[in-house]
Amino acid sequence: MAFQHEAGTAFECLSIPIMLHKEFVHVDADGQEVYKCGFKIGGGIDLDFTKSPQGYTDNGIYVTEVHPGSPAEKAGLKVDDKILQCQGYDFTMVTHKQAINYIKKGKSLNLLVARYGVTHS
Amino acid sequence: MSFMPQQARPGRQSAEGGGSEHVKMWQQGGYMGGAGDSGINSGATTQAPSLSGKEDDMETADMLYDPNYAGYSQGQVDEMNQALSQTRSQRVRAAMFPETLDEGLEIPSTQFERGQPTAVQRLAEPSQMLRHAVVNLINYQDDADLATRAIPELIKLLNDEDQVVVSQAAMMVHQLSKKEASRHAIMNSPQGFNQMVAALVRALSNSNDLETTRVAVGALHNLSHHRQGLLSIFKSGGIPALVKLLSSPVESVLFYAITTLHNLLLHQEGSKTAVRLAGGLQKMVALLQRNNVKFLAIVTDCLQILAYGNQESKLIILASQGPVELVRIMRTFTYEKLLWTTSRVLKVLSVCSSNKPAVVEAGGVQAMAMHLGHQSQRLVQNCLWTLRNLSDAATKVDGLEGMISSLVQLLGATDVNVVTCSAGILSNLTCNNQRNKVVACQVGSIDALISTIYSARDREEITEPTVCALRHLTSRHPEADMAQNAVRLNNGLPVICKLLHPPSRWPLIKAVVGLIRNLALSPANHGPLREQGTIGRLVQLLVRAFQDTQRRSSVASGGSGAGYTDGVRMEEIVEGTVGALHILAREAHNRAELRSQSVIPIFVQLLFNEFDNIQRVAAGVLCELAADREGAEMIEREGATAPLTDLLHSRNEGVATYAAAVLFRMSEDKPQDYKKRLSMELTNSLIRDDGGMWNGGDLGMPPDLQDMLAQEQGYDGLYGPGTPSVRSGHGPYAQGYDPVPVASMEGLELGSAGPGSNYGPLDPVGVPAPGSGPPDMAFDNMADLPPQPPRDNNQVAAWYDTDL
Repeated sequence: MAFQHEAGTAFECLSIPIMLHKEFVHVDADGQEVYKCGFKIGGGIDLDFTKSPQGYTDNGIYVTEVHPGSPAEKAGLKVDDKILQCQGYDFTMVTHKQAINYIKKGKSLNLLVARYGVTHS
Repeated sequence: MSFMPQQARPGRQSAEGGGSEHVKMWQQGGYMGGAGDSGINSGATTQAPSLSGKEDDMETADMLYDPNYAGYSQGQVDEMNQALSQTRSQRVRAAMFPETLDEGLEIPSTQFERGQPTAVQRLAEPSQMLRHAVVNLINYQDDADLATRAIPELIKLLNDEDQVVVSQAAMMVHQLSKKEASRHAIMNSPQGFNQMVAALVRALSNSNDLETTRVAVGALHNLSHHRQGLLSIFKSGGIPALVKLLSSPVESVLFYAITTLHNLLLHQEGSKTAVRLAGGLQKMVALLQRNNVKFLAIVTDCLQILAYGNQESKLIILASQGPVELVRIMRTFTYEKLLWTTSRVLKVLSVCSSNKPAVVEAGGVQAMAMHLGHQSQRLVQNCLWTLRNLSDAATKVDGLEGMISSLVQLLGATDVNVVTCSAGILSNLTCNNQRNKVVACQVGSIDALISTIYSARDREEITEPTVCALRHLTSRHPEADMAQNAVRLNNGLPVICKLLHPPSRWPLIKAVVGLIRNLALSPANHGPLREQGTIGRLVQLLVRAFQDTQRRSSVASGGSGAGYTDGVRMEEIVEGTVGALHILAREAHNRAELRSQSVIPIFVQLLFNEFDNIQRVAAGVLCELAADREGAEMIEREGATAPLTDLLHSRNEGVATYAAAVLFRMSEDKPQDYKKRLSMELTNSLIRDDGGMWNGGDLGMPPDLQDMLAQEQGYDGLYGPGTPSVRSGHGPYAQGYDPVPVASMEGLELGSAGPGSNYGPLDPVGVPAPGSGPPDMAFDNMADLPPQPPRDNNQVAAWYDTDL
């Protein structure tokens, strides 16, 4: 259910809570601190999941890569995890750009993820 | 407290001179009434002078002087006076203490005329009231004394093993707690109170007997009206006991329990957490199935207090099917207070992203819309806030025609909040929803929205959602062109263009630019827009935003400096303004003005921009400008050829196609072999190996990147005015605009003799024989159908990922 979810409809599922603490990289020219999470996300309601190389089955936000030794790996995030919530925001109905915006905010992230084979079979 | 000797009363004059006699009579008459001498000074001893007999004397005097009166001798008169005096006390007693009269006693009345009551009669009522006040005072002290003496005993009894004893003791406490004096006494009793309450709570928890439970909870309820009572109940663990009672089948117990809990939640610190921990939320939601409106009003108010600002509570309410019950209440009842408290709960739930879909699914939107015309302002306002929060999740809801109508009417309201909310809701509902857009146009929202902008002046909290709503209504639905013209016909253009100028801030400007771009889709608007000086102002905004982005990127060490001003990135302004100019440039005079603005260098610069969107709109506007010879020359002079050639290989089909189109137009008066080489170059670059991108037959149908990144975003649903808590459906302000619809692309048909265009068809190019090339490439078309500019489509782009 969670991996074939139609965005905007209500559903219930188990999820894994993940607390990710970003890594400080440097201070950029504007004086803003730049942090890195160390993973890649793909997907969003504005993209076409049928064109995803990983074969995802809905418009959710998925983790497509986790860099080794990164904060994401340390927090327990895995490839193909579907992010359900980030900082309390619903990630099952966001555009790609919005998802990036939310993730970029803050120094640590509270995530809820669904993982095939763990939260669902 | 001694009895005041009557003799000492000053100033008591009696015309008859029988003063002391009267006094004796009063004393003998047992004036203090049936209660006996309680040893307390009674106000009854102070009399108004007329009661002492003066009036009677006057009447007697009148009698004497009444000529109609048969003459009585003085002796007889004296006798009568005597009789009257003697019965005076009885009359007074009858007036003040009617219950003390002996049966059958006849008191001669001194009333001579029907309509004229005697003084005693006139004073009867006030003196009765006075008497009651005094009795209360006496009892108050009595009650207090009694209570003080009784409490230690009662506490002991309440803690007794025997249930019957406990029951009786509880009843007694309940009685005591009803009266104010004893209640206060209970609370002020130094050691007694907390133990008393603790004992009551214990009695509640342990009792199997209904009566005991009822009186115990009744007593607690009475005590909960005071601060000390609340504190004591809270500290004695009263809350878990009360929550347990919420499952009681007995109504009176239930009502007492919920009211007590309500008082605790309202006034006692720490109650909320305690109720939550005791599982109060689930029980309260279950109670929502009842039908007593006042009861429901209390329950819903409790829920609102518990859920406000507490995510976990909201989730528990959701899990207990709260939204369904709450919506049922909104639909079923008409008691205003209940509707108001329920709407507040729904408002609180509507910012929770998990609750929102459930509320929408339960029909919350339609239920709230039912009450938009209600007299009660507070109800309407709460419904509006809730609807605004829900509206960005309501895009698939049916049957909203009535609601859209009501909202359009509410746009004319005087209250700023009402107007702001209505505009925000309309903006969200019309976002990406064709049916709502059509309905809105049909009920005259264009007119209403323009009036709203006029009356709002520079209040951006109103104008911004209004402009967003207009922007949605002017594109991507069957009646869009009607809407575009309607704006002009309703005299909307001047006020809209004025909003491009200060004091408008960036978010509003961004929205207005998008609207102008849509308005420019209608050719009839080209002239009027130009006359408003729109082109010049758009160029100004573009230049400013562009310089801003340049400055930031030259300072940054690479990577896009995500600089937000007022929540808007300057790149978005660049994209918006160029997009609007792109559409405006379809008209020849507009193109002339644009050329005179010396903005072409910026367009060419934008071709180097990192964002596909911006490249596309820049290539698009250049494509339009290249339709004229002078334009084409100016573009070439700026050195656009090189970047355009690069862009032919862009991953984005829209960019590539526009680039090809510009180059093609620019090549008009070049030598023949140049044209040939160009054609080949274009052909080669437009063939893709990955195959999936191009549809057979026509080269157009590239997905619009604009669509991909900037689907219409709804207006932010705020929690309520000035409450910066969790935003519902947190989305940035509506972005971008819609891609150019198919119909209006016809003007760009290259190769055909369009207005002002002086190109002939391209010569046949040495193309491979049909069948040898990729099957989806119709090469015969190349001759007379040079690359089509991108068409409208709603396909989403390819899937991609981003590193974070």
